[in-house]
Amino acid sequence: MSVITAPRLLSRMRRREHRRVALVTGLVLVLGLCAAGLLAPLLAPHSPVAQYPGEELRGYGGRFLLGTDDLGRDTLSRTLYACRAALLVGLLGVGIGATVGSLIGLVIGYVGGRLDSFVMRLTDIGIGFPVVIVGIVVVAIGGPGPQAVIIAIALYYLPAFVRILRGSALQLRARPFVEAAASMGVKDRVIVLRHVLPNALPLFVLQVGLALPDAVLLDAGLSFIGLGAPPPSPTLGDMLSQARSYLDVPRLAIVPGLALCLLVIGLNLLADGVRDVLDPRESSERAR
Amino acid sequence: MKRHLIRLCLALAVLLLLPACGSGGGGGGTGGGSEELTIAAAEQFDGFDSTSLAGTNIQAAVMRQLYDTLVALDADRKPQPRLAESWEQSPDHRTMTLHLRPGLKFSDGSPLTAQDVVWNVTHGQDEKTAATARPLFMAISKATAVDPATVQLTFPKPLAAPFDMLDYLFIAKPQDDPQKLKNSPVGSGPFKLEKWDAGTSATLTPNPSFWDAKSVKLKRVTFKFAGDLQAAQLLFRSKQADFLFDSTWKDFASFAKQSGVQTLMAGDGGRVEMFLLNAAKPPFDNADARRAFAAALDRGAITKTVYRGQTEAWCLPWPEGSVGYEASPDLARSCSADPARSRELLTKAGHADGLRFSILTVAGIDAEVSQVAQQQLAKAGLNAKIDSVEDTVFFDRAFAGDWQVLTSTVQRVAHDSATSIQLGVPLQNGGVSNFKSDEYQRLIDSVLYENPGSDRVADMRKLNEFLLDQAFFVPVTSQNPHYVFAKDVKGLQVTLDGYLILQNVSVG
Amino acid sequence: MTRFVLGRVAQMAVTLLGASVVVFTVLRLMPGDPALVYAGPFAGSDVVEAVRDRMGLHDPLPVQYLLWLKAFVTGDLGVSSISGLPVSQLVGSALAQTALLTLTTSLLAIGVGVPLGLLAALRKGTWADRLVAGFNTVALGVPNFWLGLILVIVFAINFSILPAGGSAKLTEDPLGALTSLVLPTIALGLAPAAMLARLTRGAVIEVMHEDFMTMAAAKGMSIGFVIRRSLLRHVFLNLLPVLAILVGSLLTGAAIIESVFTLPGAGRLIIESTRQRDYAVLQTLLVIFVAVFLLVTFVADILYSVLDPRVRGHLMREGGVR
Repeated sequence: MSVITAPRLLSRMRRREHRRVALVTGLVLVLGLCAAGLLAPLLAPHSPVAQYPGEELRGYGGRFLLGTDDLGRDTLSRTLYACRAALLVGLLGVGIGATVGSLIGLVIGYVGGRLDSFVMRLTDIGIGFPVVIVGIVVVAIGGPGPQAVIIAIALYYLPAFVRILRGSALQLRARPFVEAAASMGVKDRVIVLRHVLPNALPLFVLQVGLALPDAVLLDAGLSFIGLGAPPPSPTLGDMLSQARSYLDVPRLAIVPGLALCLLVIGLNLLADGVRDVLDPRESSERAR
Repeated sequence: MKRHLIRLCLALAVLLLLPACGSGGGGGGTGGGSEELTIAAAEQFDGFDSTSLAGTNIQAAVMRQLYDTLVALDADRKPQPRLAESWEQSPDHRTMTLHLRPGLKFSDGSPLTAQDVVWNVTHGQDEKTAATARPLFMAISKATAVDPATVQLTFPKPLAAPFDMLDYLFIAKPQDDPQKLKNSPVGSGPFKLEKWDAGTSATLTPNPSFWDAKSVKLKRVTFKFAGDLQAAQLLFRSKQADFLFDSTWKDFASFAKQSGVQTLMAGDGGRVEMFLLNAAKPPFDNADARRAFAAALDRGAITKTVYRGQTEAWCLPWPEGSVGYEASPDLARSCSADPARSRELLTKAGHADGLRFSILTVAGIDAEVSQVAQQQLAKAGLNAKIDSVEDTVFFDRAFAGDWQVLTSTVQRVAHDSATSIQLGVPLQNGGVSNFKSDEYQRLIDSVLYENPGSDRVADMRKLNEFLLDQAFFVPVTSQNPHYVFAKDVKGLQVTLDGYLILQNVSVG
Repeated sequence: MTRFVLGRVAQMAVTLLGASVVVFTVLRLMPGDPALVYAGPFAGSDVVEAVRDRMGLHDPLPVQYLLWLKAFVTGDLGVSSISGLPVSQLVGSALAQTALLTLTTSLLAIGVGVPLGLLAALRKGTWADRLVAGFNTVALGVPNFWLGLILVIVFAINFSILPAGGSAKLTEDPLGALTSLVLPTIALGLAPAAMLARLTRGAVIEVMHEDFMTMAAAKGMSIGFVIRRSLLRHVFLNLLPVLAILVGSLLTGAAIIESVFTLPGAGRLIIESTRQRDYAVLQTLLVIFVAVFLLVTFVADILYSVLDPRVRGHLMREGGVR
């Protein structure tokens, strides 16, 4: 990093204002969709799985605001429930993967030595597995369903978080206060929990924020190829996959697709905003 | 650097403009009037082994194009000459002598002799070959080449329907390497394999050595493997294919109403949609529990919902015109759901307060059938949990006997009813359902072989009543092959099982 | 430097060996018997045993692994247990297809992303900048398979001007092969383009504030000259490591888009072979995937260290960063 020049500082401040707009937009989008998802049972005009015979493939408006699918199910209700499922699966997947991965990363980063290089080689291998294969293996062992997608996403993010938090632990280990604590004979476990962990927390939150939109996309992708919750439970990916049978009724692809886009865009903006708050030194243009 | 950028942009622009030139060909994908047929299929070939019919439907679909049989059965189950131009049976019906057409050749130009036919019989009997129709071939005790143009088959017992087995005996050129039999097929049918990209496409061209080569009109047949049903449909709808090999029943029903395309559903009994009840495991080791299951099913509702009313509800697994159907036309299609009787039977079986079990099934149409059945069964106190698993897991559990009820479409019944029992494992005595009884074996033998002095139809009726009573094999409907194709495809024929015969097809 | 490179290569070899063990074990842990896939679940047990024997599934697992490893190292990848075709042929043609898509996608991402990033940086704060930022936000939020679906609806179904997918080989039908790549390339390339645009903008802005730029301007060099000479060089060097990682993830992660467009690439081969428990094909593909990732990480690290000598020491200490 070069010395911060005056014009640079000015531009950063201006940029941060933009950032705030992004943050607010992201928050509004995500909170809006979260609320819609969480309140789905209240908001949804119909049950997401109820089939209305004779009402198949209705268009927009009327009793079914966003139309119905080929089995006569209300698209709006299904989309609302699917958004909820997507958020939940994404959050749980990233949450589990990030937590476990980060703990491993902190420990091996702090302990170092052979354990460290062994685990690092394992992460090399883990990162090389495409998420689709992780998903297929998980489904093959435990059967399809939301839990399979959560585990697949968690496994997918685990090695990345091991690496990120390990790097952070390495840096922190060299910091004076940690070295001081170690020299005073404080136990390793205590040092990791008291000093390393809290200092690595912002990075953790930041990375979770960055991973979340991707995780929602992964969830949709995995459900799209049939690894997600089995029908009739609504998932965005499955709705889109079903829409492939009705390409002359683009509405079936557009509604869940737009919901997914809004969700991901919202999460992205939110992550950008969070990064700006947590890590003002790094401009987000640099990191993405 | 900037120049590089410009070049990159130019390259991209060219890439984006290309389609404009490429779209000229359109309309049927292969151009108007050309004798080329492109078939979109969801699944791919697992090779071209002439004995392997167990896999996907598409596998069976290519057989008649690459390989011919000595004799083929027509729609009335009557033998028609193919590679063999005539045949005669000994008075005791224990030997059959077949005379090959003169000058027969394989697609590589080498002569096809009686010795090659014998090799195909022995090859199909070898357990290492894992031939689908092996149970049928095993009925041959000896195959000999009397002279290069004459084959003699000997049966230990006279078969009631000996030609069914010959309808499955595809004649391939003998090759020692099983890998070659699979990947470099040399056949006797109207077409030969020109090119095969596993997972992508396969191209067939006419076989110039085919005995009836002049009847073949198509210059090229291309199978395109789309990966799934929707992608296959996409190829058809975007006119990159003029024949849609597989479609969901939902899509087929909607295509059937459209005027721009032709549809064909054929081959009653090509496959049977059925529930199998495991007679070796509680609770369905009890015949009354099995009867209760069968009585609770509303097959009409299942075919209406899942098969979109395109097929009939089946109570006995026999297509019209077969001996099994003709023996009991009154029982074959009429079996309405009877929850009250089902409850009675359940009580009799000692499950007055209901029964819990699981149905092993795979995603797709089988799972849909299970879901509809689940609701019907629940009304009678039969509470089913649906285990919808991946194909391979299904295979594992089915093979290990780790199931109570399963769905399957593996049984073919389009041929003679007795032959079908022998061919398909679900109907065999001691087959998939682990149902085994001497009585059943006696009934099977009575219809499988020619028994002087006995009435085959009457015996078949007894067997039908036994099947209905024991209820280890509960048919739901016939899952017929069903095709959608462009208006200009003409001359399509299908086999007894409903599989394609492209020999006389023309396009345009 | 040489020592560093050699060290990393040795480390990669060991990791790859470890990967082969992991891949082998994971695949065998999956339920499903390839012999049953071949013979069908209702085949007699004598038939199934015969098939298992032929597939070599009766050997103990370590023996199976060592036999496979020995053959693999000597270049014999075996045959598919389902189709009987050589694995080298199956994997080769699938990877070629995916590589082609990766190439066109990377070209699109660079061709769109870099100019947009430049534009945004040079016109920082103007409507153009904001427009690009908006594009980036949207492009990064649109799932590629959904975009693919919409493109198919519009261009293949409604207008019928582009194929919805394809299997044409570049060597046999170049035009057909390229046209069938247009829609998947757009669907797949949009998000990377936005990513590159963001990176480019950031890199350019950073350089513009570096003192030497101010110096250059002070010396009276034209802005255009400065851009051509230093800026683009700096930007490209900055982007290269990211591009390496992008190429890696495109090569291994295009399964879903390949399914949407029925492209016979590596991703679809993986899905299909898993469904059929085709161990020989899966083992080879997965080991190649891990190798690809190790390689791009390695290349990215080398590029970083070339870019910034300070990184080199750090890399040597830590054994690689991501």
